[in-house]
Order: sequence, then C-alpha cells, then structure tokens
Amino acid sequence: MDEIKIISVEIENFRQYYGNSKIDFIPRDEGFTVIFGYNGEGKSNFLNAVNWCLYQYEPHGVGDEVTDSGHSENKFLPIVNNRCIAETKDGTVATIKVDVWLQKGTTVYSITRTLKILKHNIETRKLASGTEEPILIDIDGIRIPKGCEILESRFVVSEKKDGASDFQDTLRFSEPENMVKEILPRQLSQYFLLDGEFMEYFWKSNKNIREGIEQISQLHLISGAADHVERVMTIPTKGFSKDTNDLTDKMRAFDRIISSKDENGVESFSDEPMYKIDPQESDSYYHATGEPRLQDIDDDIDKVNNRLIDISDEIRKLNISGQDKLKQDYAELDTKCIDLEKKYLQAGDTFIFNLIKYGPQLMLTDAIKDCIEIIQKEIEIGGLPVKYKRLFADSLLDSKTCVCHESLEPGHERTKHVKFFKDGLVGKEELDDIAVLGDNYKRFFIERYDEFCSDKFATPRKQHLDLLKQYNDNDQKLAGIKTKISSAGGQEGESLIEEQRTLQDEVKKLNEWKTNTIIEIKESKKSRGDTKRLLDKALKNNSKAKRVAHELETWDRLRDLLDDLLNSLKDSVRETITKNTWENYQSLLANPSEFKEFTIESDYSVHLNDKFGNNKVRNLSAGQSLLMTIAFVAAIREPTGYKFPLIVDSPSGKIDGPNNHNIGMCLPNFLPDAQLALLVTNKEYTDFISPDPDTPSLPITPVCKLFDSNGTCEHCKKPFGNIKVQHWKIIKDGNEKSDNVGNSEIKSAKLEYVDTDETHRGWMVATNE
Amino acid sequence: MSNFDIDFPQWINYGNSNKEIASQMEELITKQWSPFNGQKMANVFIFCMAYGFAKGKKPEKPPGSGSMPGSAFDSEMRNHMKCVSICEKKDLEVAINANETVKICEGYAYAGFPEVYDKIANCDSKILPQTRIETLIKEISS
Repeated sequence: MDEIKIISVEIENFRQYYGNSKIDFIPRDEGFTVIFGYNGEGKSNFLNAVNWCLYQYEPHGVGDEVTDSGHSENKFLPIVNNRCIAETKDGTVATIKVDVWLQKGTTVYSITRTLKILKHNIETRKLASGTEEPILIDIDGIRIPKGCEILESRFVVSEKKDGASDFQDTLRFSEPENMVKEILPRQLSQYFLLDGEFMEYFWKSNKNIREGIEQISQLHLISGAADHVERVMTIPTKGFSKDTNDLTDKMRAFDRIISSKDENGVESFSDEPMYKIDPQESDSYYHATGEPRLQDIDDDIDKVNNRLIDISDEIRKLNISGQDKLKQDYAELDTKCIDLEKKYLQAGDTFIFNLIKYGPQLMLTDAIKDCIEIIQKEIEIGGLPVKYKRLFADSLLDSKTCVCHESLEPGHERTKHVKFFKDGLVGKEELDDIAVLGDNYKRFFIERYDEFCSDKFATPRKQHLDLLKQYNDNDQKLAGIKTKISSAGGQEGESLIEEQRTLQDEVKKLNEWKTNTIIEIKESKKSRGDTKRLLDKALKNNSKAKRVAHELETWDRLRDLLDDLLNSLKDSVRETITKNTWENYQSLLANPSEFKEFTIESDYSVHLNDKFGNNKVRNLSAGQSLLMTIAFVAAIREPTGYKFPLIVDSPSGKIDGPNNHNIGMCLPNFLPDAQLALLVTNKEYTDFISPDPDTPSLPITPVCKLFDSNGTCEHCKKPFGNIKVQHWKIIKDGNEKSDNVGNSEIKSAKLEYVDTDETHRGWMVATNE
Repeated sequence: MSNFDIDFPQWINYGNSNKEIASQMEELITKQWSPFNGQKMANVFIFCMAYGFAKGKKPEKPPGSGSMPGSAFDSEMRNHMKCVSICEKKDLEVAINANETVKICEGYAYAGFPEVYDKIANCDSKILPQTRIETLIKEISS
C-alpha cells in the first residue's frame, strides 16, 4: 500500500484561527513535526480543522460544556473566527477555508473545503457582566452567528500526478468525497488523527477495537462479500413448485428478521429510542430485530458505561468545602479495600487449590474404603505383608523344618515347595507399599474424615467468604461516603447520583435485551438453516430446478469458503495485533510488570490482567489508556500495511513522570516509517519532568531534549532520540486574553534555552520572528 | 524409587487426538471462568478420573496416544490412580503394574471429561470458578 504523507495544512478563519496560518509537515525520515500551544489556544481545533476539511466532521469538543478553566469550548464557538466576523462589514462575505495537501505514492492531492458566510446584522444578548455576546444558530449542523447566512459551501479535490506540471480538479468521481474516501476513509481517521479524548476513552468500547482491526485490515470487504452471497445468492428465485416457493418465502422472512430489513430491503426500526448523552441530540431508534439491533444495544451499553465512568469522575471532582474529613475517610477506606481485595483473592486461590488437590480424594471416598477393605482381607488371610511371608519361608528353610514339623532336606519335594513359595514373592514386595497406603488412607483420611473436610474445604471457604464479606461491607461504606461527598455538592451532586442509579438500571435492562436478542438471532439462524436444507432437498427432487440447485450448491460452497477465510484471517490478524500491542505497550510503560497479560478475544473484548488475574482494561488511568492506544494504533499498522500519518493531540498530557520519560525515550524509535506530528503543551514537552520518589534516578530532562539529544540515558540505558524536530507555535493575540474564542495564528518556531536567572531557566518554543 | 514409578508411562493419554476434547481441555486450563485456569492438565485428568469413577461411568479407551508428561503426576495423584485400579479389578496386584493402572485410569478420565467440562463451562457466567468445581465435588460426596 502506498505511503500517505501530509505535506501541509492551511487554515483560514476557522474557529480560533484568525487570518491565514500554514504549517508544513516534514516527512518521517527527516524527523517529527511539533505544534506547540498552551491550553485553550487551539491545538484540538487544529485536529478539528483537518477533520472538517476531509470529512466535514469535528470530533473534538463539539457539544462541550464549560471546561475546567471556566472557558467554554466549541459549543459556544461559531465555525467562523470571531475577530474575522467582527471585522467583516455588514453585507460582505467572510471566508473560512481549510486546505490539506497530501501525498499518496507519487500523487499529490490538494483537498480544500471553503465556507462563505454573508454577514447581516448580528443579533447579540447582554451578559450579566454587561458585555454583549453574539447569539449562535445551527444551520445544517454548522454553528454561525445569528444574522449571518451561509452563502456557499465548496469542497474541491485536485490531484497532481507525478511529472504533471499543475493540479487538475478530479473528474474521476462525481463526488469529491469519494476521492477522499479512497485516499483516507473517514472510519480510519480516528486512528491517525489521534485526539487525546478519544485515546483516553478508547478502551472503554469494544467497537473501537473491532473497527480498528476489521476496517484497517479490510476484513469488512470479505465479510461484506460473504454477507452478500449469503443473503442474495443462496436463495433461489421462485417459480418451481408451491413447496419451494413457500420455503423460499420462509427463508426470506428469516433473513428479514436477522438483518432487520423489510421486503423492499429498507431497514426496520422499533419505536424504542436509543440512549442520548446530549438531550439536544436528535432521536434515533433501535433496529427492530436481528444483528443490527444487537449492534445498537452494544453501542448503547458502551455509551451508558462511558457516561457512568464520567459521572464517577464528576462526583469525585466536585469541589466542595468541608469535605476534607470525608475525603480522608474515603482515602483510608479505599486503602483498606485494596488490601482486603488482595486478601480475599488470595484466600479464593487457596480454596480453589484445595478443591483441585483434595477434591478427587473426597470423590474417591467410597473407592478408598473399598480399597482398605480389600487390603484388610489380604492381611487377614496372611497375604500381606509380603516381607513377613518371605521371613517365614526363610525361617523354615534355615531351620530345615516345615510347618508340619517334618524335616526339609535339600532336594526333597517338600523343600522344593517351600522354595517355590519363596520365589513367588519376588516382585511382589511393592504390595507392602499398598498396605501402607491403605493404612495411611485409613488413619489420615477415613478416620479423620470430618477434620479433613473442615481443614481442606470448610475453613478455606469460610475464610474466603468472610474476607469477601468484609470487602463488600467496606466497599458499601465507601459508596456511602462517596454519596455523602456528592450529596454535599447540593443539587448537582444529587442529580449526578440519581443519573447514576438510573443508568445502572439501564445497563441491566440493556444486558437483558442483549441476551434475548442473541437467543432470537440464534434461533432465527437455526430455523433458516433447517429451512435451507429442506429447500435444497426439494429443489434437487424437482427436475425443472436441477440447474438452480447445482448453482445454489456452488454458492453455498463459496459462502462457506468465504466464512472460513474470514474467520481464519480475523484470527490471524487479531492474534498478531494482540501480540504487537502487548509488546508495544510494554516498551512504552515505565513499569511493565504492573500487568501480566493482554488478550483480544474473538468477540473483540479486551483483557488486560494484573497479577491477580483481574481485568483492568476498563479501569485504566487516562495516561495508561493513552499509552495503550498508541501501542494499539502502532500494532494495527504492522499486519495491515496501512501507511497513514499520525497526528497526535496531547500524547502525554495525562501521563506521569516516569512514563513521560519513557514515552520521550521510545517515541523517536517507535513506528520508524510513520510520519508523526505532535500537538503538545509546555507541560508535556518543554517543562522539566517532575522528580519521582519511587524512582530517584529519574532525570528531569524535558521531553523536547529526550527527542533531540545524542548519547544514552544513564537512567534507562536507552539511546536518546537524536532526531530533528520541526517546531510550530500557536500564538494567541495578547490583547484578547479573556476571550478563549481566541485569535490564534500558527508560526514557524524553534527550541530555545532561556537562562535569565535562577528562577527563569529552562526550555521554550519561541517563534522564529 | 519404586518399580511402579520406574515403569510409570512417560506419556499419559487424555484423548488429545479427539480435537473437541483437546480444545476443551485447553479452555479448562486457560479460561478465567475455569477453576483449572493456570493449572496442569494432570489436575484436570485426576479430577475427571475421580469424577468418572465415582459416577460409575463406563470407561472408554481414549483415542490416539499419550500427550501429557507422566512426570506431571505426583505421588498423591499416583496413589489415587492405584486406588481406582484396585477397586476396578478387585485385586491388589494391579496396583503394582503401572501400565495397567494408567490404562484403567485413562479410561475413567476420558469417560468423565465431557460431563466435567460441560458442568464447568456451560453455566451462568456469574458463577464463580470455585463454586463450579465445588458443585461437582458435592454432587459425588454428599
């Protein structure tokens, strides 16, 4: 597959960006491109600009509420830059434009999206502070100031082939969108335009994993073909007999149930609305039946679970005075819970160990009793112990006197009998061990049966259950404190708790629906299969339908082959991606021993187990999730050969010191063939890394210097990046500090060391001007 | 070392050449829901042998040849095997013949395996692994 490179991005009057800003990207063999900006200056909107240009879609922050800093993000931002619209005279036009230049193989593409807005009288509203703010309206999903109208929306894709002197508008496709679909499909955009938010929540949904693996591996093409063969080619046309017509109708009916489509192939929906995170979002409804409905339910379970995680975070973040004592209690109880969790897990392990080791003995109790009885009888008749029988024979031969008091002369028939008896004992000595075994079973097991059961089973079970109960009690107390903390937050806290309860019930309901839907699909598929077999038989017996029956058999075979091919490819791609993700993740983590194993199951559920076997994938910290997503994205490139560039927003925004050092050391050698651009803040790039009490030797060298230094790090013994970094800096108009809507520009920049005095010493990204 | 241990077969057959059994055995020792997760196949074997014998299953000769190392069976396991073989033959001498003893036990383990797997694997996912195995033991011993 041809390598795709971003050559440049030009932004004009898009959201924060005032005027025209152009960034040139360097190819990977020359180094990295770093775009530096402080919070709120427009890093994420840079990603939005690229997405908007390519797909008319903005993944980041649309619908955001107020941020931590108190500023509003895109929900209150028009798509057109505020300063630009303010400077545009009434009755004239403001232009918003994003132009992305890409190279795929030897062909260069210029992809330009332009929006022209005609300004009339802008309507405003007065804020409590006295300032006036424009009222915003949505027109076809585009947010503009009320009083403006969209004059023109243009999307042009031009291409310049190798050797051609200029660009030509593409005529190959009736829609330029199709051209972009061919170059970089939108479904894949989230895997190369990596938004920090997306990476943080990546592992909370199996959908991301499924799409990543299936779309990038192009497996959906095979599944689409198999699906088409199954739905269209393996059902015969009607008209042979009433029986076959009826059976064909029956099969089509099952297909409609499985695919949730009506007779005309139109999708069927129920009247049950799907879950909405934003109440303003327009309603969408569950498919009526089958696999699409199952997919809807899965999507909703993911959405609801993610909202539950957000609610927990929001409850935790509620900043209310007088909560210190509660928070202290919470922290103490939390530590106790962690300790109890370890203990009950260990007790559980001991209990299982005993069940496996001593369970068979318990099940063999009757056999052991029978065995002891057989041994006892053998002893009673003098058959055991063998060594006594041997001693007896020896003593007879030594005394030369038989038990009947007759003499045992050498060569005498009587003597021969005694010797024969003695020889017969050879090889039987081990029967004495069996006698000992029986004795041991009797003394230590049968006679102490109750003690055995108590020691091996009842006591460990009780210990395990007691610890589990203690853990649950503490966990409940913990939940109680959490509720108190959130209740202390007044109405906001209470409504969060209420929402949490409602959503927990919602998840239960959705899981029940899911189970029922799975059963319905299974039953429909089984009935379809049974009907198909009857139909095949009926067609074979019908002389007019023999040719059709033969064709159907061929299509059936093809479908089976496609299914086998799909399953084997899926397994092989999944296994490779699992292995590579795990290797990449371990290389990125400062403390790889924290997790023991990583697997992606055939249903794309992910297991990242700690040493106690607990799956932690849904409890990853933001930093761990970011690292893991980078590891996954790197892994899906390998087997699929998809050579797309990566633009990563805040790659280490929420990563701790040791991991920040590690990522700074690893990133330059990571994905050696991928064009890489990073959108970073000072905190993650130029600031010294905070010292870590657990790793005192950790250097405080900032990431920018880990990238471009030579030599080897004394702490981790890895070589420094030794790469060139091309810097760009987002500059915000200093006069508009209070206005997060901003007037930002992007300028070419460089890394500089500042050494004004002891308190003003360090690295910074400064513009070249 | 006793002659029984010297003669103990190098490889024990649990029915590896039956692909269904092989994959189910793999599941039992690798899946989180299984109490045998992380255990040796020998543990599963002994458990199935005891279950199969205690339930009065008809021993079945497993297909193929041995695939589990004999060294994985410790003295306690071997004693349980001797016990089963004595009860089967109602004769003590079978217990000093390692090959004969193993053959009898292979038959019971193979006969008991499908039911053990079914009862462990096909139950409500909320049921803990320890409860799954405990239920099987209680079924026999209570």
